Amino acid sequence: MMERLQTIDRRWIFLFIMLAVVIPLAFDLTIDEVATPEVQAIYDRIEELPPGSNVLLPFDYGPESEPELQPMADSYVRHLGRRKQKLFFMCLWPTGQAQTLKTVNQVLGREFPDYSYGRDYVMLGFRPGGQGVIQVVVTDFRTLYQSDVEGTPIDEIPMMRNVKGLKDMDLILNISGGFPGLKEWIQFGGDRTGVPVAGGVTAVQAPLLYPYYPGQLSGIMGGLKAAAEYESLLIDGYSEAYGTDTEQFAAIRRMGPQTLAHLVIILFLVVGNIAYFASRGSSGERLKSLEK
Amino acid sequence: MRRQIPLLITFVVGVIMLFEAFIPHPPFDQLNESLSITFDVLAAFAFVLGGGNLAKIHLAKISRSQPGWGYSAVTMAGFFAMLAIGLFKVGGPSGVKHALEAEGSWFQAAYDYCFLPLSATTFSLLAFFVASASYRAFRAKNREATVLLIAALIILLGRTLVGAALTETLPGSLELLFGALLAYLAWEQFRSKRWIPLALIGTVAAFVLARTLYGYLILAGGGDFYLLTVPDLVNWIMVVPQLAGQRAIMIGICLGIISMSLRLILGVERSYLGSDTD
Amino acid sequence: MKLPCALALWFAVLAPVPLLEAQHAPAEAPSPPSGVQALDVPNDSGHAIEIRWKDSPHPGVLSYEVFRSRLPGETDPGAPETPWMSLGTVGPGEESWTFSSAERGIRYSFKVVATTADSSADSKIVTGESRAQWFDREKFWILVIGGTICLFVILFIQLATRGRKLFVRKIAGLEAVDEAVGRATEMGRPVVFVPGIMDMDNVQTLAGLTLLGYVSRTIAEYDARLDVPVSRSLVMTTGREVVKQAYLEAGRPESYNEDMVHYLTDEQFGYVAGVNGMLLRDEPATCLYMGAFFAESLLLAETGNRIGAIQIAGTAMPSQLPFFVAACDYTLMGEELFAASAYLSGDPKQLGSLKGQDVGKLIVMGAILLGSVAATLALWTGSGSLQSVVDFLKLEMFV
Repeated sequence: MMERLQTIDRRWIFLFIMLAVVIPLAFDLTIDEVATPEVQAIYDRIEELPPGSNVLLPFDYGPESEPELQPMADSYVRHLGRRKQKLFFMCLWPTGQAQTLKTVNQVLGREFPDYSYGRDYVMLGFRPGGQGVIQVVVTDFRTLYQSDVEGTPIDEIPMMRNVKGLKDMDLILNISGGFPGLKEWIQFGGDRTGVPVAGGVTAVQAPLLYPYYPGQLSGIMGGLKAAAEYESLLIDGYSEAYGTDTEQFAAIRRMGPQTLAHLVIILFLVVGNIAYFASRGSSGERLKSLEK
Repeated sequence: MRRQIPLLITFVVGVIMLFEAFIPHPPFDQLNESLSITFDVLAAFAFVLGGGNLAKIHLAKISRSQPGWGYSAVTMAGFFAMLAIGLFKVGGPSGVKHALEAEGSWFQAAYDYCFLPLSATTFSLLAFFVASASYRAFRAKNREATVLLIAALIILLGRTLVGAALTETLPGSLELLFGALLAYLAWEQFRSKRWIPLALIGTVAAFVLARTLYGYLILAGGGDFYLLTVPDLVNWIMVVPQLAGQRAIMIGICLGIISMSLRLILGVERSYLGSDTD
Repeated sequence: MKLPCALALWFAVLAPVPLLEAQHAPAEAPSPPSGVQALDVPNDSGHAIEIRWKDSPHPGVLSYEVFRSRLPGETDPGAPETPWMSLGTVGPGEESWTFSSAERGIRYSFKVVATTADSSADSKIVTGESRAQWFDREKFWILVIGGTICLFVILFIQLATRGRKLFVRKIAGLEAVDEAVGRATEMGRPVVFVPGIMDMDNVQTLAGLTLLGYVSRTIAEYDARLDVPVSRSLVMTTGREVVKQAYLEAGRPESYNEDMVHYLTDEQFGYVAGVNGMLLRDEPATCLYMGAFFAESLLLAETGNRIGAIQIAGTAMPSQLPFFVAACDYTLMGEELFAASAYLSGDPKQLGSLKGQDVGKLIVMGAILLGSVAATLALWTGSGSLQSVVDFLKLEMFV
């Protein structure tokens, strides 16, 4: 029995994980989050920016990490919109532009009808070259971006008039699903210009970026949990606008399945170890293995 | 000759780029950018080679009806369909000026309704694979694996409500757990008559348990006393031991890259250049 | 909840008070900003000028607006044609503005205008020019430390060339490569080699390809089958050269087939789907993953584990190491990937470079030790000189 549990067919594990994801989704289970300091730091940084500051939003991810990262993107834009900042969207991933459009349509389009294109936000779009693009825009956007995503010449866009390079930004708020991403924005963007960098990444990448916080990175958000924390900060901070309506806050709703899936994994870890120890027999044997 | 010229180019460009990092003066300020763009242009042209190779292999498989040729047929259908939709801008406004993702374009539709769900599906497999891999990997097989297992359990707990709820409803439960663990270890030392480790572990265990009990007394008297919470512990694991390990690995990697790059620049490492004769 | 309420209260009740006072106060022009200077920003390619001034003692100053002279022929769509162009506005208390889009070598004029509720005052006009520097002084310590490490690497390469014996510890994952290839040969199944998903401009891909050279030589000697799916066209062409050379060196050029190294797709998850399909259909006995990996690491390695392949992985992506460790038999961690080709080649020159790397490690360890001891003592004793050592390490040496 115990040996069989140890080499259980992985499809049983898959089945339990599936149930753990599906059940909370079906019953719309939500959980309140408390923000960690790294997430709070980003929120505070945006709160401290004077209205009308230039914020660069590179969206470097694709549909594969959308469930984790799109809620962050939406929250950032929602927050920046409330604070009336100027938004500069760009992307180093070809798939980033479609994600940008999603946020622009869903957040700016629905909640901020007074945000006008060219005056309050601009979509510069995708340029190939990965980190090379960052190195170029450090000095001058116009080298690579002669026109925006719709083909309008940069010089005809009012909000680009006083912007030459990355140094004219007040904050770089990156969302990244891999390479090139937040690390490259720190190394080639933030470090070279002194412009503060913050952002969100997938939970898998987050440990890699902790070494940069809080020095080179003003704040860091890893995965869905951090996204949900940010959403709860927004709900608390702008309660007059959102009240208790969490309809547009995707991360908070998605945390239900994630929490349950974590619990299932914990359960499997415990069961797996009990099976392991039980099948190893007496405690003497176990001690020997501990000493190895 | 086939090797000498590439080696020379690697050396010259490598050394110039080393200097470039320290010289802000033109023309060095633009060098990195120009070379990055050059590489991208080369890589873009090289796609013809890759795409050609893909078509060659799969078309051959289909024409010879090799096992699994059905998969190749699907691959080729997708490849040529996307190529045609993208090149001719089917559905959207055609012309160089218009974007591929313009209103009504088939390219955008294919992206939204094929590429996006397929990518998301492959990525979400991770959730299942993480579960099965951790089930196998996180076994308390030896001392290091036990530490790993405990850390993993704490982090996982901390990512759920249960973690926060545990220490909120039962303050000091973490201290009691660690105290018990240490007491068990001390007992093992006692049984195998190793007195120095016993003294060390025993002292720590006694301190942890005594501090917790003292805390309970203070809390019972309505006072304020800090007892460890799961979220705090998770944060500590992430910011202290995790970070320290991560930094060590990164420093090692950076040094590795320095030495590898020097081997490449100096031509000591040349196996990536392929054959000397042709 | 409490903070926004308090803020709202402050705005509603208290904030208008000074404004009302200002409205009732008699209008008085502010004194113009004094001490205006236009200075070249150092350590750059000559594209920035910093304009500095002294904050006006006048209490009513609401903002400072910085202007620069318009260049001949320069137009500003939608703005009136004046000789001055606004660079931007900052609040009271601010004393500088960086004009970061200056043309090199052009002399600009600047002025700063202090504005109150109902009047303004121009500073005197100053001129400044941006220049390019030949050395970025902020990188001085990077040059010193990096240069020292490089010198030691070169020194040890030289020593090794002269025949000095160098000790290199065993790397289990690399010792296992021969065994893994042998197993594939016995079982009559292929060996799959994945060189990561990055292009040739990534040093990890290069490290992966040098390993591919060694592995394919062993495969050629054993006469096993090799399959290298790649996700970049340039990696495909380079990989082919490497494998071809290995087969030549093994004396089996006739066994080499170009299609051993074949392209799948640049798209990350398309590539994963392709490789996983191959793994499940062909059931290779051995899978090697050497290069730069992202989310695909576990997707590939877990599938390889399912088909019971011996798996050896190597990557310098710290975020993917845990996944490889969990799902593979051996994992080369970070620097081991870069050391692998030197280790396997046994070439004394390459081994020498590893020794040089160790000196780098000693320097870093020394700095960490010094820093932590100094920071701890500075905290305990409150000594200023110790704190300056810490600041030097933190701010000067390792910016």
